[in-house]
Amino acid sequence: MPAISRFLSCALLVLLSALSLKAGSGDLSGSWAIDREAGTAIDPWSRILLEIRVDGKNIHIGRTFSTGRRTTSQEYTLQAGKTVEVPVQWWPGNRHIGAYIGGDRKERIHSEWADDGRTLLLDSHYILSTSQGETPVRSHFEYRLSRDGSTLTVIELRSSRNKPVVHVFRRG
Amino acid sequence: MRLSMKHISLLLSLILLPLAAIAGKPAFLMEFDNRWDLSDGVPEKALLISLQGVVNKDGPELYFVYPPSWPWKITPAMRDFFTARHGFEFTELDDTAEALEVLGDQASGYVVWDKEVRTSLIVAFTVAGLENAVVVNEDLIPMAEAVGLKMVEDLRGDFRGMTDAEIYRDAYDLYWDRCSRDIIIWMGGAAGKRMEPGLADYGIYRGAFFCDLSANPDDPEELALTRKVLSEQNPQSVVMGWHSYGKDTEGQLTSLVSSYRLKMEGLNSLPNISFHTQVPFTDDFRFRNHHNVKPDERVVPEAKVYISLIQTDSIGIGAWTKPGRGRIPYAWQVSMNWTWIAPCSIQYFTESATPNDYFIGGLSGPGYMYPKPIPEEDFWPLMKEANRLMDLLDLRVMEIMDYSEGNRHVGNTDLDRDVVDRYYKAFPDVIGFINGYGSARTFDLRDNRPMISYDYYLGLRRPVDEAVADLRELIYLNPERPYFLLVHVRESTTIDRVAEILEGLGDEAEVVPLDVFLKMAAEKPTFRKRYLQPEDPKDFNPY
Repeated sequence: MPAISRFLSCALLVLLSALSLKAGSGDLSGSWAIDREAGTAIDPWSRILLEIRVDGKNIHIGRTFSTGRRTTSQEYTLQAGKTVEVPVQWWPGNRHIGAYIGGDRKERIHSEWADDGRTLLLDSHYILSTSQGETPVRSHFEYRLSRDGSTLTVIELRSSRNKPVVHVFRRG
Repeated sequence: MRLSMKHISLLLSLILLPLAAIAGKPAFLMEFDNRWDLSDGVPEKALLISLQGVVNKDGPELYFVYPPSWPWKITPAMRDFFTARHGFEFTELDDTAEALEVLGDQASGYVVWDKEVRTSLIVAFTVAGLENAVVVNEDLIPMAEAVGLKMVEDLRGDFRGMTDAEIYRDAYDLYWDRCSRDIIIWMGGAAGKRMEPGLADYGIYRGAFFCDLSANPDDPEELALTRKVLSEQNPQSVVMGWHSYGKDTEGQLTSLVSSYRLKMEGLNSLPNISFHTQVPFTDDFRFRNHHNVKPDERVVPEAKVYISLIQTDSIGIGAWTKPGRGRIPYAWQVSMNWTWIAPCSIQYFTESATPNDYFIGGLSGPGYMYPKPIPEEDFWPLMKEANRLMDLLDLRVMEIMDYSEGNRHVGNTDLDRDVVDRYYKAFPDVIGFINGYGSARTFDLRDNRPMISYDYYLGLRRPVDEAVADLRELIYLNPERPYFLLVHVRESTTIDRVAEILEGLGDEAEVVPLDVFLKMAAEKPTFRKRYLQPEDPKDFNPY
């Protein structure tokens, strides 16, 4: 390969990488598998997989929960800087407690990039239905990528729960 | 021939057997280790369990003590109970050869299963029951022949290369007509290289058909045969054992069993039932439950959080013998069919209960069933039987569970209005109903009798701090007082651990007995009535 071609290829690669970071980031894109030992207990599930795809301002997040023969998935597409309404069939926050998605069965999620695209911030508003009625709840999520890009830490602060929920994922 | 003291003792035991009524009840006992691999431990244990089924046809003679890790935890406690309350005098047998030497003459012969085909052992259990034989693999033939037993059937090579559907079809053609229509054994549970056939003695004792057929639509051939055998059993008869972990789900098999108006009784590992079933209640025994309120009593709650705790999954596989029982009020779901399957177990639990132990009926009826798949015309005779058993056992609360449209992970475990109507009509004397397994959301109140679903499922592996946070979250999300928070405690969770979790709540909550809890909930119901709704998630256990 002539030297000029090699130089142009390298330059293109650098440019694409820079654009990717600037767009706010493709670095979260990919498949992520939960590290059960590293965060808050995930029972009753034994596995959680995240599938993240960033396409310009669109952020696609898929979550798959499984245990034994049971597998169930949820996915939605967000738009950075905007609030979107997402239909929710069931609330995955805590399957041990008698709390279910209520109201109009939708979450209103606002998303923002932070830390030069290494952190995705979500603020989600929804209604939980319990045996006594319905309660508005807010969940603040941070999807934080490690500096080496190998670990994704997802922190949830839920207005109904004193204790934060921390899940650590490894790139699949 | 030189006789050791052990041999002399055994000979004396045999001589004394006819004198049982005078000098206590002689029986034999062996302790099992924890090896349950098909190539290590199972061959000899299968032989012994089949021997147990055969010899116990003439009365309760052979009993096994299972290791601490066994799902059914109370074999040592029951041994002591048999000694103390029934006058059994156990002579311990050291090994399989000795058991055969002492008791083998009660068998008509042996049936050989094929070491290369796991399912052949399950078929061999069927043959053992029909022929009064013990089961052996080829390695154990010399041991059987050493005590004079002859081969009655050889399954080696018969099933190689065949699917389970084909094997069980052959077994059906050969043996089904001679098998019991009142009991069928699902020898499922552990799959692959492991088998835990603790229940096989009872199937042999009753001459049952054994299988681990699938209820999974992904196995259409097996499912078709499953439907066939279930449809040919007597109405309201019992399916004993458990589904195969390698083939289908608990929800799939139990939904199917319920749709054929049959009753499920677990587990495949349930031990010594051929012994238990022949030991009746003692003459001085009376059922008594530790009621804390009268049926028509009213209890006014304060403005606080009330918690009540229930352990389901039947008593014997749970925390009954673990430390802490009696420390806090606890409700225990009784398998009501044990009144005839294992009456001595019921007596043991009743007599060892503390004032804080309260028994309730379940699950869903006279056995483990799901109400939604039960055809309505079959619901009424089944629940009539459940009422009879509850009356006999002095039980005033019925627990309902339905995994036909989901489980504690996905779908729902709720009841539609029609099913709730049926329960209120079928059980006019209960003080309340419980619903769910994991959390559920069916709530009702009629004639001061509430139906309350679990608001919390305390899993085995839930860390204490997370469990405390879960309960606090529920308390936040349910702000009216009183708040009635019903907790299902997973079977093996110790009461000491539960108490530690509750202590983490401080003064926020008070733990009360279940009957008091129901009475207070009836007095001031802060829950909203709710039934299964069309928009609720469903994750079918197809059947």
